[in-house]
Amino acid sequence: MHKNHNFKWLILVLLLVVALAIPGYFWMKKSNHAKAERQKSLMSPVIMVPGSSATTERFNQLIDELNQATLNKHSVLKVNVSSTGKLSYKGTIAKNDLEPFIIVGFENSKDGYSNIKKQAGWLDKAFDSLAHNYKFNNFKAFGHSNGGLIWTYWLEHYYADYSNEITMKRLMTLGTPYNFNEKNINNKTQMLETFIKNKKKIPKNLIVYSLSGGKNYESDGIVPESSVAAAKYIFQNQVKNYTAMTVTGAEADHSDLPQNRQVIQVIQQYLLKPGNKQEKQLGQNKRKNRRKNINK
Amino acid sequence: MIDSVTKFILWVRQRSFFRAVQRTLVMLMPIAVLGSYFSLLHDSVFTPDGIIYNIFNLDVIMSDHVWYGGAFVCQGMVQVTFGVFGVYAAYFAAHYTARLYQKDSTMAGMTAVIAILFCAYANTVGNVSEQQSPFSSSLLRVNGVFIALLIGYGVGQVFHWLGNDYAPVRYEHAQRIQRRSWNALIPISVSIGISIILGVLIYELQIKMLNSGSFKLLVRRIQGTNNLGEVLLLSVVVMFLSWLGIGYPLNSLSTSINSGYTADNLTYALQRGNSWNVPYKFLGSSLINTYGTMGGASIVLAVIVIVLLRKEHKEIESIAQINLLPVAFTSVLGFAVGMPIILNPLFMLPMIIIPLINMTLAAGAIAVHFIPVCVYPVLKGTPGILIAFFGTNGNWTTLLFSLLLFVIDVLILIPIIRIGEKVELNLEKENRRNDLNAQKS
Repeated sequence: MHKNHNFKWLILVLLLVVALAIPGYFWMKKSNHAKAERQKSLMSPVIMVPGSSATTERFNQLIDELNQATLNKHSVLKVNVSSTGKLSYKGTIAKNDLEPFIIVGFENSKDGYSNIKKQAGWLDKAFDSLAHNYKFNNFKAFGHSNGGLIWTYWLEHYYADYSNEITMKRLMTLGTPYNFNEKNINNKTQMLETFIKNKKKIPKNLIVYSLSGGKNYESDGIVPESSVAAAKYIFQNQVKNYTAMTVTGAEADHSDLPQNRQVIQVIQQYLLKPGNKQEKQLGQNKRKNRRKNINK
Repeated sequence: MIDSVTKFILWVRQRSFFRAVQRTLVMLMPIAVLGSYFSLLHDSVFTPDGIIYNIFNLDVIMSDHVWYGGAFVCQGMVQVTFGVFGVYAAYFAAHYTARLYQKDSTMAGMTAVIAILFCAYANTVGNVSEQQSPFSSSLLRVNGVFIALLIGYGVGQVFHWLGNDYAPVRYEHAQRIQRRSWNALIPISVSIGISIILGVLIYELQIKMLNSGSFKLLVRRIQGTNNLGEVLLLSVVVMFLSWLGIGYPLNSLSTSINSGYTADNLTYALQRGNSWNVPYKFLGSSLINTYGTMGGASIVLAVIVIVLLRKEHKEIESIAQINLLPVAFTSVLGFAVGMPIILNPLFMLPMIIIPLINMTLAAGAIAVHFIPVCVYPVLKGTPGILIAFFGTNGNWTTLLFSLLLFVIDVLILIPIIRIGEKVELNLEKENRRNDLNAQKS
């Protein structure tokens, strides 16, 4: 019987399959492990984006007041994204903190639609790294002023890459000019038009709150109320729940909004995990620790 | 019994449709092989969920420039081969049908190209959701090659009934070619008339021919059912369609896994660290691709292995050699067209029955807790035999089970290949007789 040269081919391909299967096996184990970790993760951060010309220090006062008002102290991580997309971190997430605040700021924080698009890209760079490092499976988003626009743009253009594994549960925007400075809703800016055009990409199970400040009857001093209200054309009939609120009083100026008492209350009530639930979880942890200690 | 089966297959093979289709597919083999190599490269390297992309972390080590360049080349080559496969198929189907009856085959081929492109045009204009270019029509893609073959065969038959007899000559001057065109005027006009009517019907009735949309109902039904009987029944339909050359349902079953049920299964498995007791154990979406076709290994790879080991037929052996690599990595179309397996009467029953056997055995093994359920996502370009192994997060019993299934499939296919060899032998005898007759006259 003559030798069959085809054996050579079969063995060659078999070797190739095995050569690929071995690293493939370890990759699969690692990736499934990461998926499981994310699935089991209890962390649900609040990711905040400041408005134009503001840095990651923008929410210091807001966070201080929130931490004073609640039992659980939220730890703070600040991420700065340079114009080349490089990330630098400040602060840490405490080990047992299930609801840390993460603030993402940009070196170029200028106003204007073209900058907002760029900033959404930078936000995505930061988000990608955060999602990889902290393995949370859900989060809440908060944006002040243009920060809300950046989130909306991110939702429509980048969120699909993560939606299988990570859920954006809530989005709260504060004095966000969805129609820039335009008072008349019939004059839709190019940005608003595109937001409306792509609204189908916004997740259906999202809960959205849009807060506006009422310094006078028309605006918060800078952003017209009708521009904030334009959010309804984007979110209404697309997300699970869309709520618009107006806060008035002493600190209803556009730039005072993040430290407004009512706003802090609304954040506590609607954006953060209800207090008692978290306390219960803390309690459970305590109980676990104690049980461990007793067994020792 | 084997003799009568051989006789029956021989009889089917000698019908004009199958004779023309067989010649066409064999002719298109080089195009299909080219396409399958580039689609393998695209799926495994130039897709973010490809196996090589992830294992070698191309996110980091390959620059954007190189990666986009590679993706561009691969997508382009897949588009000009598999994307417009229908054009080639229609041309040669008409060509070989006309030649069967000694008609002007080149004219018939040309006419068939016009006919299918017009139908593709009507299909895209009427279909808002698709890109508005006839070249992106699902009618032309390799997954709908059956329609292209039908159109080509139809045009060939028009030439059969209305065309003048024609014998190719070695030296052909311009005047002779002009005469050829005039001679073909009637069959060309009639074919184009029919294709216009067909196109208008497609447009008016908004027939969304063949895109994955029209099979969505079928696919969704399979993905959504956990009833083994239903899965088996529907898989018969899917496998028969892919034998015909309508690969859309099978294709969308093996690429899209995003149904709510699979998500539920995955969540369950991730939380508990194993997939033994997931809520949906017999989902069609997980059974068909992982065990039924095993990413093409259960039928196409098995046939290749047999052909390579038996060494009975030189030409088929070379086709098997050249296709071994892409088929091992689930890019099966090169061989499915080159052998051919598509529309080959020999393979109709095996293509339906082998997946049924595999899935029944797998479901049994799952039911008695011999193997866990496949729930974890598997990267594109994962070798067919490893799909179940990786889909169970590396369960070694599952790997052994897949190998066992593969051996069973090979054993089932050996007698089939033997019958095929007998059919070939008879056909060759007949061809030789025909050649002799032609020489005599």
